[in-house]
Amino acid sequence: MSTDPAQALLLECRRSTQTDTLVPYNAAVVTTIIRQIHTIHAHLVHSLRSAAPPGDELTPSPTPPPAVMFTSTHHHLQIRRLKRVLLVYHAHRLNMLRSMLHRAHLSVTHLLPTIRPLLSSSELTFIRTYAQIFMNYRAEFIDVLDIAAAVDEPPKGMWVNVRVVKEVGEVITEAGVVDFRKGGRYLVRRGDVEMLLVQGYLEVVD
Amino acid sequence: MVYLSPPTSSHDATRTYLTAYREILANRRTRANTPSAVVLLAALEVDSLCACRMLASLLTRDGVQHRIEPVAGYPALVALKEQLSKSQELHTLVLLNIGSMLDLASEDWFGEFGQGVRIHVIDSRRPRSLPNLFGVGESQECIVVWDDGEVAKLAEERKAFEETMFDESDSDSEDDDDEEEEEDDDDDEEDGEGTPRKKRKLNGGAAKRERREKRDEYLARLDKYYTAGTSHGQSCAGTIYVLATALERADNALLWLAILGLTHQYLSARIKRSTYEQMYEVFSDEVARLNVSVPGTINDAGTKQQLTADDTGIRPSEEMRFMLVRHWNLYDAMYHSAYVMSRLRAWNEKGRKQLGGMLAKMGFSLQQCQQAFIHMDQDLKRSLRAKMDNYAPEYGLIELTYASFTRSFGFRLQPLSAADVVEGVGALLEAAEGVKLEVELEGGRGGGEWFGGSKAWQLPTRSEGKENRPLAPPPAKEGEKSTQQAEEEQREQKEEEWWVGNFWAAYDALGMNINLLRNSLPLAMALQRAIVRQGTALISKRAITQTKSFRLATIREGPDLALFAHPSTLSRLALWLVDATRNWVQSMQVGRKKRLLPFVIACAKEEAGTFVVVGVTGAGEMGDVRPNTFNLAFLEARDRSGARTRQVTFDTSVVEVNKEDLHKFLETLAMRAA
Repeated sequence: MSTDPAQALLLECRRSTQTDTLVPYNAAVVTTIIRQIHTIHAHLVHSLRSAAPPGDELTPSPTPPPAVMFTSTHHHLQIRRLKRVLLVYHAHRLNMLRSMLHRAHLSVTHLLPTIRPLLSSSELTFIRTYAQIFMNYRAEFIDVLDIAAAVDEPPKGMWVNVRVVKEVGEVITEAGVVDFRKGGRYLVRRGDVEMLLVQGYLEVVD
Repeated sequence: MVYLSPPTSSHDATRTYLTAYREILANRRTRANTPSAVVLLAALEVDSLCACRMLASLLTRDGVQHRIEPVAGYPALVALKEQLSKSQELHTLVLLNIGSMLDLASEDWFGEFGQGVRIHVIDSRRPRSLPNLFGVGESQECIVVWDDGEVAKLAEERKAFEETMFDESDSDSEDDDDEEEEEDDDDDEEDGEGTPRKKRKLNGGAAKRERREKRDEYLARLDKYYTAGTSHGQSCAGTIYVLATALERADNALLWLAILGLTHQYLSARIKRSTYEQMYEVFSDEVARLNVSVPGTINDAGTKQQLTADDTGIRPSEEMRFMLVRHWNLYDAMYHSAYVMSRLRAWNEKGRKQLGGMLAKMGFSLQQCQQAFIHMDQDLKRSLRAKMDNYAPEYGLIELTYASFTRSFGFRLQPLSAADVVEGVGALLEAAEGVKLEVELEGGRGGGEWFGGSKAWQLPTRSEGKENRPLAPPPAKEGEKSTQQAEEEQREQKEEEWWVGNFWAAYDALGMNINLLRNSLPLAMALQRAIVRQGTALISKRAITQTKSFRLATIREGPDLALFAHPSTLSRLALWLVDATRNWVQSMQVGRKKRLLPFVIACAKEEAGTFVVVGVTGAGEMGDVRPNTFNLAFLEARDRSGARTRQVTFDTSVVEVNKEDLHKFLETLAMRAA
C-alpha cells in the first residue's frame, strides 16, 4: 500500500499536526482519490449488474453468489476507507485554519497574505465566512467579554509596556493618535494594541 | 520661566515638584491619554537612566500612557524634536539630564511647540541657562525647570539677568541712545586722564553712565556665572526620589535607583565627597525607614549574613575602593582600581611588586588572591578588612572605604553594592553592543582549566533559547548608491541602532532582569581591564605630554580603539589617568607649585575620520571636584583655530574634531589656556 495516495495524504496530516504548520492543499492527491473512488464505484456497479440475472427484477435472488458477494464487499470497503481519509484530511485542515484564525485574532486580512498560497478556493471561502459569522456573534456582547481573546496568557494588567519591532506609523486608538516609532518604548492600554501585538508589530517587554 | 522648588514643606505657596506632577496627571484626564502625549527623553547616562526608570514607574502606577526615548546627543535630539513637533497630542515633554544649557524656549529648540506643551527639565548639570529659569514671556512659561533649591542662591544672577534683558530692549527702542553710548565709550578710554571733556559731559551723562556701569557689572556677573565651568547639582534620580517621597510613594525599588544615581555621580567624579556624604545621610535615613525588618548590616565584603529567598532589602555598608571586589578576585580588583593604582604606582614593575608585597605582608598568598573572591578562604575574607586597616596605611592607602549601600537579590544573585551595579549598568550602556569585548570565563584561574578561556561578550537576546533565530539580513546591495554619503548614512544608522540597544539593555538590567545584571559584571571587568591596559600603556610609554595648562594624551592606535571612541569610556579613561597619576605628578613637581593640571585626551575614531576629545579637570585631592571649564575652552579653541568640530553628546567636555584639524585645535587650546 506504499504507493497508495491516501496513505500519503494521511502522512501529510500527521506531519502537519506534529510541526504545527499548514502545508499546501494537496489538490492533486485529493483529485486522484476522488477519481479512485469513482473507478471503484464503477467496478462495484458493474459487478453487481453482471451478477443479477437478467429480466428477473421482480424476484431478486435472496443471496448473490459468493464471488460477487466478495468483490462487492471489497469494493465497498475500499470506497469507505478513501472517503474517511478525505474526511480526515479536510477536518484536519479546517481545524488548523480555525485555530490559526483565532490566533490571529480573527483578522482574515492579517492572516491571508501568509497562508493564501496554501489554501484551496473553498477553504478560502470557509475562513472568510467563518470569521464573519464569528464576528457577528462576538459583536453581541463585545462590551462585556471578548471571546476572541487568547486565554493561554492571561493579561497581568490594563497597561502594557511595548517596544516597536516593525515601524507601524500612526495608529488611532480610543484615546487618540499614537505614533509608534522604532527605538522607543511605550506604555499603552493593552486593549488598544492587542491587534498590533498579535500581528507582530509590537512586542511586550516586562 | 517657571522653576520648581523641592517640596520641603507642604504648605509652601510656591510651585513644587508635586504641582508639576499633578499637572501631568490632570492632563491625563482632560486631554488625550496616549503615549504620544507624555514623552520622556533620557540621556545615555546611568543617572538619567535611573531617573527615567523611576519616573516611568510612577507614571505607570498612575495610568499615564507615556513614551520613552533615549537620546545620545544633539543630532538625535534635533531629529526627535522634528518628529515631535508634528505631534498633535504632545503636552508634556520631560528632559532627563538633557539641555539645561540650551535656551529651550528659543525657536531653535522648542519655541515652535506652542502653548500647549510643557517642557520639564530635570538636569543635574550646572550652570543652567538663565532664560529657562528667569525668562518671561509666553514661550518661557512652558519651560519648567526642576530645581534643587539652588535658584534661591542665584538672586544676584537673577537680578543681573533681568536688568540686562530690559536694558537691551530699551536701547533697541531709542536710536539716539546708541550714539551717546559711543561717546561714552570714548570717555571711558580717557577716564584715567580725567579730561575736561568728561567734566563737561558729566552732568548730562551721569545718570546714563551710572546705568551703564551697572549694566557692565551685571554683564560681568552673568559672564562669571556662565564661565565658571560645568559642575553638577542634585542627581536626576534624586530629584525624582524627592517627588516620590512627596507623593508618599517611595519604596525600596525607587530608593535603590536613587542611590544608584547618586553613586554614579560620585564614582564619575561629578560631585564632591562632602556632597556625597551629605546625600548619603539623607538616603541612609530612608534606607532605615524602608528596611526596618532587615536585621544586621554588612560590615565588610564577604561577611556571612542571613539571606532569605525573597530578601530584596537595602543595607548600608562600607565599600572598599576596589573595583567589583565581590565578583572579581582580590588581586585584580585592587590592581584595576584607580585608587590603588595611584597610591602604589602599580603601572610599572616596581609598583606591582609593592602590591604583591603588601598582600604578602597581610598574609594573603598570591594564589588565594588570584582566586575568585567568593572562593577565597573564609577566614581570609573575614580578616580582610582588619588586615587592610592595619597594613594599608603603610602603603599610603588611607581612606580605603566609603559609605555606600548593598542590595540583596534573594537567592538569585549575590548581594550587589551600588557601585557594582553602577559599573555593570554603565558597561552595558557603553559596550553592550557595537564593540567587541572579550570577557573572562569563570573558573579559568586558580586551578581551573589550563587555558583560562575567554569569549566575546554578547547581549543575551530576547529570542534566546529559540532554535530558529532569524538570520541577519544580508548586506544591502550597493549598486546605485555606493557613494560616500550613503555609506556615511549607513554607518550613522548602525551606530544609532547600537546605542539604542545599549540603552534598553541597561534599562532592563536596572529593572531586576537579574540575568542581564549578572552578565553585565564580567563586561564591566573587561571594560575596566581595557581602560587600565590603555592607561598603563600611556603612562609607561610616556605618551602623555604636558603643556602649560594641561596634560595631553592622544590614542591613535591600539586594540581597544573602537572602545575608546565612545565618549563616556574615554572620559572614564581620562578620570582614571587623573586619579592614577595624582600622587605621582604631585611628587614630580616638587619645585613648582603643586598643581594638578587638567587632562585632555583624544582618541581616533577611525571609521568617522575624527578624534573624540575629552577634557577633565583634576582636583588635588581624591574626592574633590573642580568645575570643568573645558566646555568654553573647546568652543574658543574651535573658533580661533577654525577646526571643524561637533558636539555629539550632552557632556559639555566632549567634542569630536576632524582628523586634519586636531593638531591645530589642540595647539590653540594650549595657547588659549596659557
